[in-house]
Amino acid sequence: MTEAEKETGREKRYGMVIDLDKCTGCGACMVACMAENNVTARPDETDKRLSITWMRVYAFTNGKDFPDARICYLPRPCMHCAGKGGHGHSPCVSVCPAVATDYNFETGIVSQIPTRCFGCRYCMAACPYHARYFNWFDPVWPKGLEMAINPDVSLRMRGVVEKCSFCFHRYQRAKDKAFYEKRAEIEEAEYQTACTQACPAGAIAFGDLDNEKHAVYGLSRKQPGRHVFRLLERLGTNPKVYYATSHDWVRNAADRTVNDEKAAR
Amino acid sequence: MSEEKSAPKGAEATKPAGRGWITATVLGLAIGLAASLAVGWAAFPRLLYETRRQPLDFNHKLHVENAGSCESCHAFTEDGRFPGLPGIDNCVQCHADIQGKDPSEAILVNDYIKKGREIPWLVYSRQPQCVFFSHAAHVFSPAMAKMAGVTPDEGASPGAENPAVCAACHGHDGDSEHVRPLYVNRITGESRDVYGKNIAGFAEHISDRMKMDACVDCHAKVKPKKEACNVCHK
Repeated sequence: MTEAEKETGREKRYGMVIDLDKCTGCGACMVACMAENNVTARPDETDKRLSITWMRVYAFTNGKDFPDARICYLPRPCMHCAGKGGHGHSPCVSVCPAVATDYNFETGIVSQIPTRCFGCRYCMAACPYHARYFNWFDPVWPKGLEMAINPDVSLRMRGVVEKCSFCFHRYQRAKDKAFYEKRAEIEEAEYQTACTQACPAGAIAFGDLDNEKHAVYGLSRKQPGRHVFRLLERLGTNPKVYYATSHDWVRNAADRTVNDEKAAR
Repeated sequence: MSEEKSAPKGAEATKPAGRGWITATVLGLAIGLAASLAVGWAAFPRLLYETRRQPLDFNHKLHVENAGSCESCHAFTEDGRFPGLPGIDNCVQCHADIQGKDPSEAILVNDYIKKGREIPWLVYSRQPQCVFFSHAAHVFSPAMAKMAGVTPDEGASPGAENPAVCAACHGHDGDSEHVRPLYVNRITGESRDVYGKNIAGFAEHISDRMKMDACVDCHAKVKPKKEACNVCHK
């Protein structure tokens, strides 16, 4: 153990495992995320290209008719890609000309600093998961709701990009408590994202993917009769969000290729 | 040949006028520089910063002598947060009634304690909202202890009970006998303590200037790897 590890704990790789069989598509994770991270809702949210949803639940079907029709809901936070070899070369980090987003090797979290961003949206173009959102408007809170603004998360302005941070401020708060109690490491329960805690079905698990004691350690590894996969794995983005399902059609949809395109494995 | 001889003659004739021109230029530049410096160093800061006064005077030295340590008033909460300023319930413990003849004492008791109102202290060190700063990470850090010249026992880190740890960053605020005015930048609304007293950006002590480069200077020395942005920015 090095001197730095004694003080701040060893390096972690925080990630998420989402059980698609459990997800009911209720959207509680989306609501919890917006409330936690100071995302406003505009009076008219019909145009989803202008909406901001750090956590977004997608619905997709197997495309068959009545007796065989199936639907799957897929919550999509930021994947916090580590890039090939885990060197932090995520698609967005590699292209940002302002260094407004970078890879935190201490936690494996991809940061987004809105005050540094100048809104070129190159990262949005680079992200294969559409996890990044642009502020087309200044945020406006309905009167009284500004009292519920979370002081731990900074407010964004018109013209900058934002995305899911895995509730990094909660990690900071957990670390504060650990420092106060003179511990180097934090417990699994001390740092959980807002969406994880809000999910009524318990479909989302969150923790350190490298820590055997954390639930995600087992869940993110191969299990008999279940597919554990990541979205668009063939792109080599090395995401830290895993999905689990027992249905073959759901698994195959995650690597969907365009018509007759060959899978590049 | 005659042409060559006449050339120095002509130069001699123009010499006094040339010197006068140089002197006038140098003098003009010197006056212009002095005026620019006066504007830049004296007038501009006055224009740029607005002066605000604290609601009442406060004697840090007297309180440290009686209360013992910084932590007696500036305590951490149990979840590791650092509220910074103590609440009025902290003051009531000693100041339920007026003590002494200081006018600030009367303001404290009559306007705040008896009415149960919090004192609207002005904060010198408030950072912009995009900055995350953890007091716990700094106060309990062995690296900070080294900086403060405190050698902690094996396994134990220093806390706020040691005034030297606080003084490592805050300077000798604990020895002050009066509050000072707060200078607020009229454009950004941030405190002058953040930008630094010296308009040219010179700082003798770490508390003289609290801009990002001051943070980076230390973090680059203490942390083995380059820090990620979100360690200090939110």
